[in-house]
Amino acid sequence: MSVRNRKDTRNFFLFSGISIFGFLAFYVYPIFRTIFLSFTNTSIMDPLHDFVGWKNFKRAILYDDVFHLALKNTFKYAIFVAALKLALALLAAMLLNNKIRGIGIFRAIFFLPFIIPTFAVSYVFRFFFHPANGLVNQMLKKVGVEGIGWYADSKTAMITLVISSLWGFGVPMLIFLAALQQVPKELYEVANLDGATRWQQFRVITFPAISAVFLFNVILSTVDSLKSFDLAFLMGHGEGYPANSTLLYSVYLFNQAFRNPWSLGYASALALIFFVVLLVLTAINFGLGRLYVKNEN
Amino acid sequence: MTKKSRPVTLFLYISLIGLSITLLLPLLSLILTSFKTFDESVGVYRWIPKQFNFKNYRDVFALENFHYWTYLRNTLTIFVFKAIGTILTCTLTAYGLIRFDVKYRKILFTVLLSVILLPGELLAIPMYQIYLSVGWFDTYYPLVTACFFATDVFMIFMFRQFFMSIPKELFEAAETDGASEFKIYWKILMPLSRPAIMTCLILYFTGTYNDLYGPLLYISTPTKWTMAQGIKSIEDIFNLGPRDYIVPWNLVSAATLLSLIPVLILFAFAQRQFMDSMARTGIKG
Repeated sequence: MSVRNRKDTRNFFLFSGISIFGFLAFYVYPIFRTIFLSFTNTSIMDPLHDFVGWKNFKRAILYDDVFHLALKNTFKYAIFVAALKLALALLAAMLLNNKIRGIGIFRAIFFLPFIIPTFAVSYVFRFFFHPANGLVNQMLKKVGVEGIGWYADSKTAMITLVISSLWGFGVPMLIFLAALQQVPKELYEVANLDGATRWQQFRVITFPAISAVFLFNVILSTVDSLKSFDLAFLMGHGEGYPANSTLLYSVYLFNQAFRNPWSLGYASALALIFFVVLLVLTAINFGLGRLYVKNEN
Repeated sequence: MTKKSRPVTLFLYISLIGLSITLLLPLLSLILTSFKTFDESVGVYRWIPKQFNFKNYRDVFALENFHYWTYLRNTLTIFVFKAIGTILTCTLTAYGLIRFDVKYRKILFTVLLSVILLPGELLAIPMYQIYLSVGWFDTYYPLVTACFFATDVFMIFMFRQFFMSIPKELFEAAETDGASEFKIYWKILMPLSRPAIMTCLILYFTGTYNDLYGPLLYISTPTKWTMAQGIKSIEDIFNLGPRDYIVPWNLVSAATLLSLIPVLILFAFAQRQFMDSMARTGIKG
């Protein structure tokens, strides 16, 4: 027995050992290093760092106006994108959850935008919303409305970014669809006999049945939209163009850490603050989830 | 679902078609623009080009500072190494986790899973410093190295789930026949895992193809760029005037559409598996 045990232990480390090394080298070390760096003024130009105590955190929280703006932009962006994306995904999933002819084609079409790489999406929408000759402004002109600046105007750039981000709602949609297909059909038949309206059916049958998946999607979309980088980076030319109006947190952090002046210490503090924000928001989502999730298992 | 009355079905079709058109419009507009002349593409918007010609596509390949095939080759190179590393090390780890009954395995699995919550920014800065200090800037090593150390916890999770669905008796029978553990892994488990490996390949292909953050950090020489970097910079090549106002949309559209071809081919051939894989990525968190 103990021979077997010893053999098992040896084999276990032979097979799974690599992940322990990977975990220590690529997760544990970087986290402690980031915490360490956040209390220094390290930069790529000046790797001989000094300890500066809480200075980086103070600078970010008390004085850095651009950081405050980026944080505000990120919240605005995340709230709208998460809420609208979820609504759209649920609506699309409910439409797709019907056995009618050609439903497979519609599912593929609804999913298609998601597979378009972000670097292409940014051109699609910059062309679509182009202030001078984009399709949207031309259509507005036809109905007699003066075109707006969309992404070229700091007042409307954020809205344009939000709309463009909504395009790929494919993943939450598929998750909702899988959950909807699990709801027993007999429930609806009974409800139909009782003469329940569609809204009542949704409130009493559908929503409670998918509430756990709903919470899951809420958490996922919130975290995803708070972390999103690519589209904002591309549409804002890497600098939150125009006039920082689309500068998201992740873009600001990127520019602080990996572009001139490569202030790794300060960026580490920003990353830690961001992590705390993510944790708090996820905890809030869990708390809110308690109010509506009907737990059956 | 129960049989639907006619008005309900009609309503469903109208909604489905309406949403489909909204989603396809931007793409359609891009496709049509790729056939326009420069003047048409920057002038007053018209849906249909006066003449469909493929000149823009030829021009894109002829551009001096845009190298489609190079970008595609670079991206595929990175993809192949990432996929090989992840599939090898994550299946090994997952096999160890399901096969050997040692007391640490539950702890190890839980600890590994906990990192799913960590945002990438928290890890990127120290790694950047390390990779720069060992002189790996402007190479692909920083993009692929981590994959060879089973760092994709979600893949470990996915492979583990898949392996648990394989009957244990299969491994035990092979063991009685005197097969070594590595032989069981390689000759029995891996051939059976084709669907899971396929899922991993699809996710890694789209992931690598999409990735902008990594290449932006580490790759600077234009001939080493990935497709994401190449397409991102195509408007800079022309540099025709103030930002956003004079972009040669006909060429940009053609180049953008060319960049979509690999993903669209994959989607066309493995649509079902593609969507299943993506839906499961959602679980990634």
